[in-house]
Amino acid sequence: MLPMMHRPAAAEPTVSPAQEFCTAVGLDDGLGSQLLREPGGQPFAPATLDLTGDPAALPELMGLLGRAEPVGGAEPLVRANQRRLREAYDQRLYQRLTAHGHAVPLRPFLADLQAELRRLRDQVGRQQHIAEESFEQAHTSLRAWQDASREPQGLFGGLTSWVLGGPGRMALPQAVGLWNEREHLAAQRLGWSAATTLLSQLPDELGTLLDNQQAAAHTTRAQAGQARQHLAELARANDSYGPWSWHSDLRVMAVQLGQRADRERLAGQLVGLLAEIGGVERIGVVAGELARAEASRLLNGLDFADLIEAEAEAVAELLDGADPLVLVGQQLITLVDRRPGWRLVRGARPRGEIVQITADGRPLFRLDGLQTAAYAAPLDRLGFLQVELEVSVDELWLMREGEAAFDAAMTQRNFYVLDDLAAAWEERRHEAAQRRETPGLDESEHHNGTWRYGAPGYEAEV
Amino acid sequence: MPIDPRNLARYSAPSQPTPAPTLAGPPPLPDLVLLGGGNSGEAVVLRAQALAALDGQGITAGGINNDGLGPRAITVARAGEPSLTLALTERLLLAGANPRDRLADYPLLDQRYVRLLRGIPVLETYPRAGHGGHGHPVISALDIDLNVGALLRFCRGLLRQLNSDESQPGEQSDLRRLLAERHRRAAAQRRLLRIAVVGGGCGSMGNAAHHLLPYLLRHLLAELGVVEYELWGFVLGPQAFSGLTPFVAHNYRALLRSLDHMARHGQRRAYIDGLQIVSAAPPYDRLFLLDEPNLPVASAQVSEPELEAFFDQAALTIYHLLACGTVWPTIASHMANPADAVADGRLRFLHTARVAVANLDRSRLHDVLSAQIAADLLEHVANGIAA
Repeated sequence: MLPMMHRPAAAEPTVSPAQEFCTAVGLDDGLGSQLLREPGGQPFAPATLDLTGDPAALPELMGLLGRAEPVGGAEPLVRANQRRLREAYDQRLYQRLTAHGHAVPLRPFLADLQAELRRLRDQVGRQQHIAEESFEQAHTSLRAWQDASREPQGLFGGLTSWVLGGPGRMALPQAVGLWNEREHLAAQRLGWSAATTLLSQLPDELGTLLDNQQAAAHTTRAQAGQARQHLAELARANDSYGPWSWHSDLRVMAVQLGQRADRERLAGQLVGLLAEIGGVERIGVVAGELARAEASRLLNGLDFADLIEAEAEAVAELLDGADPLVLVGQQLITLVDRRPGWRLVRGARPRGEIVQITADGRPLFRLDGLQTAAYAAPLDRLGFLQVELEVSVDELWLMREGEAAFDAAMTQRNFYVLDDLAAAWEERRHEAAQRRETPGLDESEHHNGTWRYGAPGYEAEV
Repeated sequence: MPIDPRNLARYSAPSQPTPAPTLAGPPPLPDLVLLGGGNSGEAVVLRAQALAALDGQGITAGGINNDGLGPRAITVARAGEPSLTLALTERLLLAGANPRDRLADYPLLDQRYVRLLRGIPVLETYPRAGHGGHGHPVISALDIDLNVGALLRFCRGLLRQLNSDESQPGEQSDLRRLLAERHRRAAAQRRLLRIAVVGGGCGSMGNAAHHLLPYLLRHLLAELGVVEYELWGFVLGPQAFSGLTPFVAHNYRALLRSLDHMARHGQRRAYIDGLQIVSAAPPYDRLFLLDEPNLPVASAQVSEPELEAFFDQAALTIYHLLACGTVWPTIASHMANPADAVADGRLRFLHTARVAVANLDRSRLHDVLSAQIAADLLEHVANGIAA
């Protein structure tokens, strides 16, 4: 009796990161069948013929039975599945490309992945070969039966051989079965062929990536630098007229909004597009195009208030719970309210109105006495307009100040453009001179604060 | 003003225009004409045009001046379109021989200006034809008097531009012209036209324009058969022009008294071409005074940046009052009811306005955001590939 020996348990086959990668995105040796699965998981159901059905459908059935080529119908499903798998692959590959801290460094990993994909391609290729052969066999047999069926054999012989078959000839039920088999095999052939195509592309693309990895990194980094420079120039240079009271920092806004970009998806798309165009030379252009589309997506649906809030995210810790839009509104109101377009004397009471102006006339703020008007245009703009109405000339502070200086200057030269006002001033001066020369008359008509306009019958206190 | 050369610094001009092609601007608003009188009026009118262009609109505008130097062109970046360099192309320049030398040719003017030119030395005004009125409104008024025919033709042309879309290039026959003219008049009567005169109250041409242009415009509008219109005036200053000439405050004060006088009595004035203005209308239907009472900030004289900022602010306010959506209709509807009357005989016809605006250029934001995303994306991918 052999001594009992300890036999170590069979080690679990280790799964390499490359195999793990492939399994995660659905790339395995069953890929051909997988491409034929409906979104719900059930396999594609090819067209079938059934002799036991409605006799009225028999002529149509016979017509289909005589078709030289399979009906097919799996092509859209296979294409959709192929695209979905490809996107999953690109996205995962990008994650692996851009992630750090993996046990296996990138370059060995990519080499392993390439080898794994080639192994899968070979396996799938064998499956495709089997599917091709099976299909050809069924197709050839069916074609032979179809050809034989068209040869004249007399009415009775023909009908008998149609239904029951004969020497070297299938009966009708067998032919129907064969037709159904050919449809099934045609779908299989399509699935495995698509799988082979996909698995043939991927190792080649990886090979390109491996060959050019360093150059690609260098080129990409250089173009990233150019993009940063372009960004800085763009943010700085603004030669357009725009005398606005409040300027948002578009650079800050862009940084905040840029954080909302779906970088994973974008990078996956970028890698995929680079694979399509076969090089990294145009990576800056392609990234720019993707970025513009992403910027449009991010800005779509954001209104003026949303954009102000986005800018404020950069200083969220300083806001202390304040609403940034309200802060902007307060600043604008202060600008119009504390800096009116004139200075009035005490007691003057102009009619006042303050209006917030928004793109569509929907108010952004509420405040007692605040009205709302519309730009009536799709503008990202917020305005506050204050009007003061119905003030008389002598309620202006500057008309009270400097009256004496004006009169003194008028003695040197005329400042009126209208000759009747100039004449009235001279007449008044002449009268004042006469009063001075005539004792007893009040000489201080002007200096007691009364100024007479050129028009007769009007005096205004200033 | 003493100059300390140690304070000289490079002029940092974020808005210094890069030369850009001058392209056709957007079509003008069909019911608005802006007339700028003098340098400040022209500068503000051009800015209002630029603001309109930013919003894809045009404004029919012109300038009247006796200073050949027009306002600096303005570059406007429009979303998705090439930059537009705007200049005030419609300008009437009242230049020629020394206007005071021509007085003797016209007894009407000779008599009028004996009094008006009292105390103004010929040295101050000669030889300055074509270089402005140098702070003397009377000189600019004389320029207008001497060139009233050209002025009327210029203003008539501007007013007709409002209906230019209806004129046919092929209208050759008298009948066609007559019918087109009738059509224009009918169209003008259907709309409420707004004509605004913008000018400083402290200098020469703007001041003179506020005296004379309103009634000449009313005359032309009547000639064109336009009844439904509003004539607005925007008087700029005086604080914003502090120190520019010794006469800033005096000219402004004299103008306001004239406006008050005309608001009571209208205007009677004869021109050398036989035109007689006899109007019982006030000069303006609405008169706004626009100023920056806190200027000048640092010295006795406003600096160029302060003046430019004031022009921007004035243009922004005028643009909002005249050309922005429902802004003025909203204010007008609230102000339709009369205020509590104060029976003190004072005419309360002066208004002021001020606007503050926050604006976002979405097109530029899109560009900057795209560049931001592209740079982030490329950096991210570069880091991954190089890892």
